[in-house]
Amino acid sequence: MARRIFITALLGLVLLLGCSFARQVHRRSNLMSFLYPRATEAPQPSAQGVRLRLPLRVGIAFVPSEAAAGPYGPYGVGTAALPGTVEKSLLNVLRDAFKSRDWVKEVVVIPSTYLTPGGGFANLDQVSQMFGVDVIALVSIDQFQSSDPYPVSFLYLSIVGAYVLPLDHNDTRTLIDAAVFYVPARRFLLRAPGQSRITGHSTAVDVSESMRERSVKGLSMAMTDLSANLSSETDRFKQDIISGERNDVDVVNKQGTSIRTSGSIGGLWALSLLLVVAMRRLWS
Amino acid sequence: MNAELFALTPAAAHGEIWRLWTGHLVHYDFRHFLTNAIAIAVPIALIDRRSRRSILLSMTLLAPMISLALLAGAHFDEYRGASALALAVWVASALTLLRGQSASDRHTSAALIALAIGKLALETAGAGHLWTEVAPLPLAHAAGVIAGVAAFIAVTLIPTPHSQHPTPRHAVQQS
Repeated sequence: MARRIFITALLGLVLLLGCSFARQVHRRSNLMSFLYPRATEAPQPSAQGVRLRLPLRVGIAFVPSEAAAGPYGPYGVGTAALPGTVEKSLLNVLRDAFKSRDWVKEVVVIPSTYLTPGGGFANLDQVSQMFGVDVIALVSIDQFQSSDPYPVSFLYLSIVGAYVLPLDHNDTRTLIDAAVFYVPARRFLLRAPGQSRITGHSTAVDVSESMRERSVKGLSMAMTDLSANLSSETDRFKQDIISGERNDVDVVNKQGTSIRTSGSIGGLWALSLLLVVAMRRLWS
Repeated sequence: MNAELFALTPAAAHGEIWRLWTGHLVHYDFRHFLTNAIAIAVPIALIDRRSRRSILLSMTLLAPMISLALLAGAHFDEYRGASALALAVWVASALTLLRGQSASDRHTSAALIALAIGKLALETAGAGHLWTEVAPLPLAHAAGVIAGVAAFIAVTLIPTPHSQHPTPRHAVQQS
């Protein structure tokens, strides 16, 4: 009888120890492997310049994940795809940030299920026609989560400890990148990053739930950061078009007037005026 | 500071009236600002102080009028730049110099007027984007020229407590 009790207690102890190993989750979607699955056959952008007519219908979509295994693979390391509801709420953050801009007619959220891994521009062409958008922002993510027990986590050996002592240290680092393309010409327009970092603690039994919550929160924070950065990059993109640095792209309004048009005297005309001043000295 | 809040846009006609003035003050980059600033500073520096002050004061009234003309006659989402005001100052200064007594004033005036006509002619012919970093809006410069003539007439006809006839700097120096 005593031996049976001892074996049962030992088994219980092993199970409790099993709760306190390090875990890692890596969520990743790669823009380059989606657009150019065979690098040697990467399609060339059209030589013809891009002419964007305002207001734009812009599509936004997550790049499909390369692998979508369960939340944890062998040895506590794994990859995980975003749940559909989380994906939609994250894209809505971006949509809400841009729908009030006067150059945007509509921001269309495209579910990533419509994009196939490695689909490339052929897949983008299909989606572009299906949703009636010429400009698509592709959002790729790189999120790494780790949970490491502190050295004092031997206290998990008591069942109560595993439930009440927050001896697991969690770290969630998120990087989101949005790349905007003009699909008909297969031309890259602009990009912007967003990032976040969340650290915290959790009990052994709450590690999974805690990491899931922090994953969503980290993505949400990074998406908010991305919205602000994308807004700045859009303004810079506009200025680059106006100043002629991006002469491969023009933006016109409904009446066909280019945004390059504005109030400018021009450098040579200003120099001509200076020349008149110099001539005036000769005339006097 | 967000320059978008100050650029001239159709929002000026819907309550954001400060844009009628500030649209002429904000620019896209330093080079854009510098060329317009030179085009204002050079002609205005050629005339006497009293005329200079009168012309610049008249610009505070003419700036919103130019803006209203642009909003009514051109289709743009956003306008930035002082080039219309520069053309106005340029033409008003040239006409003021034309009243001068010296040959250099008249030659300078003729050169300024010839440059202004040349610029307008190129823009009307659709070649306004040449030699400029930001393609100009021809209507803005045409409105600027009209504003310049109006400023000159106002400054000449409206008597001031100090002088009834503004004179070019050169003439003042000679007298």
